Amino acid sequence: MQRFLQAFRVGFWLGWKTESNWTNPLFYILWSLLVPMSNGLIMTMMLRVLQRTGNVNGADLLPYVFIGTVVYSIVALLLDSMAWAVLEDRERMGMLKYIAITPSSMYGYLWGRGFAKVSVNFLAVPLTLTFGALVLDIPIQLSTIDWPLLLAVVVLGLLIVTFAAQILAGVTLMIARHAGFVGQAVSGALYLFTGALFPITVLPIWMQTIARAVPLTYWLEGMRRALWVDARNPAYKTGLEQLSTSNLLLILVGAAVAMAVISIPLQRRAEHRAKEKGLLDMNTAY
Amino acid sequence: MQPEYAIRTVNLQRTYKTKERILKALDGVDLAVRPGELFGFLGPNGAGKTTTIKILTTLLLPTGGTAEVWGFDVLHEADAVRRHINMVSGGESSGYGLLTVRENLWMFTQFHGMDSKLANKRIDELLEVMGLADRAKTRVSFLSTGLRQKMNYIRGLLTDPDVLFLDEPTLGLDVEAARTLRTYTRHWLDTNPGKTVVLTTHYMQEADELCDRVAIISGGTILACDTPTSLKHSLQEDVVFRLFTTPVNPAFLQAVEQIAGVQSISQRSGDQRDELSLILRDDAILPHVLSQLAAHNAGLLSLEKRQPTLEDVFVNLVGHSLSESEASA
Repeated sequence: MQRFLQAFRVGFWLGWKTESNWTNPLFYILWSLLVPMSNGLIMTMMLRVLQRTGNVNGADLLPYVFIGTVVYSIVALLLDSMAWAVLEDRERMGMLKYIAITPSSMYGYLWGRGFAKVSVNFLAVPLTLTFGALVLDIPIQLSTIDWPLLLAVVVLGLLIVTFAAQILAGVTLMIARHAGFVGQAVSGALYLFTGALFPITVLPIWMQTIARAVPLTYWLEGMRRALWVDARNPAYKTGLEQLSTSNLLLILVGAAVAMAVISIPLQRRAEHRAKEKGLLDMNTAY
Repeated sequence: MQPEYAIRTVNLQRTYKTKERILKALDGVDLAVRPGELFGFLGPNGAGKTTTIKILTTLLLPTGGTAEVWGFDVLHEADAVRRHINMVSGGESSGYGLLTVRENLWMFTQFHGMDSKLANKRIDELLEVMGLADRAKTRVSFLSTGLRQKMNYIRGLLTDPDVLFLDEPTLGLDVEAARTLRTYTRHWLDTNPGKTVVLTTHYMQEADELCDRVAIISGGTILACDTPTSLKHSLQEDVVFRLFTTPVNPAFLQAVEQIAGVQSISQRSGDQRDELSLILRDDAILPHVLSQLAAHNAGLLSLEKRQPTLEDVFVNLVGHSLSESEASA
C-alpha cells in the first residue's frame, strides 16, 4: 500500500505538472470551460431546434442532456487518461521503461496520472453547471442539491471509471501506438449506452439491455438525482426511475467492487504479457 | 549483505516468435559477475546485449534458463531486483520535456522512495560533476541530446544502485562528454566498493579502457569472456598486420581466407583505399597474402605489424569486424 501511495503521489505530481504547465491560468480556465460548455451548448441548441419543430419537449430534456453531457466529460477524460499516460511515457517520452524498473507500483503511478488529469479539468464541471444554471435556466440550485448523495456518487463513479481506465491502460500496454484510439472508442461507445445524451428508453430493447449492464448508466442517474431535484421524482422517465436511490447506490458499490476484482488481475496479466513480448519499452516511432 | 554474484545467469535464452520465423536473441548465455566488477558486453547490433540487459532489469521475461541480480531471481523476485538496480540507455532523447532537469531527476528519486532532502543533495552533487549545475532549472525540452544523456546518466546514479546497467551510454555523446562519463563511472566504482556496473558497448576502446572483464557476444551466444588483457593475450601466438591497399574486391578476401594459416581478415573501406586487418598464424604467411593482392590487381599502400587489440580478438572470434557487422545489420 505504501508503494502504491508513493507512486500515486509521484504520478499525480507529474500529471499535474504536465497537464497544467502548458498554459497560463487564464487560458487554463478558458480551456476548462470552453470544451464542456460548447458540448452543452451544442446539445442545448439541438434541443431548442427540435422543440420548435414540436417533436420534443425541450423543457424536460434540457436539464437531462445538459447535466449528462457536462458530467460525462470527466468520465471521458479519466477513462482515457491512464492509457494515454502509457502511450506518452512509452512512445513520446521514452520513460516508461525507467519507471517500470523502479521498485514503485505501476498502478499507483497510473492512478496518479489519471487523477491529476481529472483534477486539472475538474473545475470545468461546477463552472459549466453554474453557467447552465445562470444562463440556460438549468434547474440546479445549491439548496436543492443532495450533497451526501453527490459525494457518494462522485466517489463511487471515480472508482468505477478508474478501474475501467486501468483495464484500458493494460490493453494499451499490450499493443502498439495506434492504441490511442482505445480510450476514445470506449468512452465514445459508452456515451451512447449510458444515457448521457438521452434516456435509455429511447434505445432499442437489446441496446437497453447493454445500457442496464453498464455501471456508468447508474452513475449518471445518480448524478442527476443528486444535482437536479426533478430527477428524484419517479414521474420523470429515465428508464431507471423505478430504482430507489439506496438500490442505485448499492448497485454502484457492487459495480466498484466488481471492477476492482476484474481490473487488478487484468492489469497484472497485461503487464506480464507486455514483459513476455518485450513491449514495455516499445517505440513504434510513427 | 553482499551476494556472491552481482549477476548470475545459467543457460539464459530468449526467442522472439513472429509469423514468419523464430528468432533466437539469446541462445544459452552463462554469466557470473562478481560485486565490484565493471563488466562489459561487446558485440554488434542484434548480438543480444540489450536483450540481456532488458532481462536483467526485469523489462523482459526470458524464455529459458535463469537469471539472478544481486541474489534475486528476475522472474520471481522482480520487485527485490528493482530495489538494487538502475539503468541508463544511450542514444535516445528520453525525459519529460515540460519538467526541468532538477524536477526530472527528483521525480525518479521519489519512485525509489528516497528522502527528498537527501535526493536534492545528491542531485546537486551529480549535476556539478557532470557539468550540468547551471542547467538545473532548464526545461528538458531545451536540452540537446547530449545534455539529456548526461541527465539520464545522473538519474542512473542518483539512487546509488548496487548494480548499474549502462546500455551504450556514450552513444551520440561528444568526445569530452563521453570521457567525463567514463571517468566518473570508474571513479564511482573505485569509491563505492561492491557496486557493480554492466556496460554494453560497441566501442572497442571504451570496453578495453573501462572494463574489468569483457564478454564478446554475437548471435545471442557468448564467444569469450575474460579481462581485456587476457583476451588480447589469446592472440599472442598470432601475428597481426594492418594493411592499407587500393580497393580490393570480395574475390580477394575469399582467396585470402582460403590460405592456410590465415586466422581472419577484415576490411574497412575508405576513400579510394581499404584498410585490412590480418591475423596470421606466423609471419611466413604474409607473402602469400601479398601475392593474392597482386593477383587481384590491388596495390599495397602501407603495411604495419602491431600488437593485438580487442578488435582483433573480436574479428578472430566472430569472423568479421564490428563495423562490418553493423554494415550488414
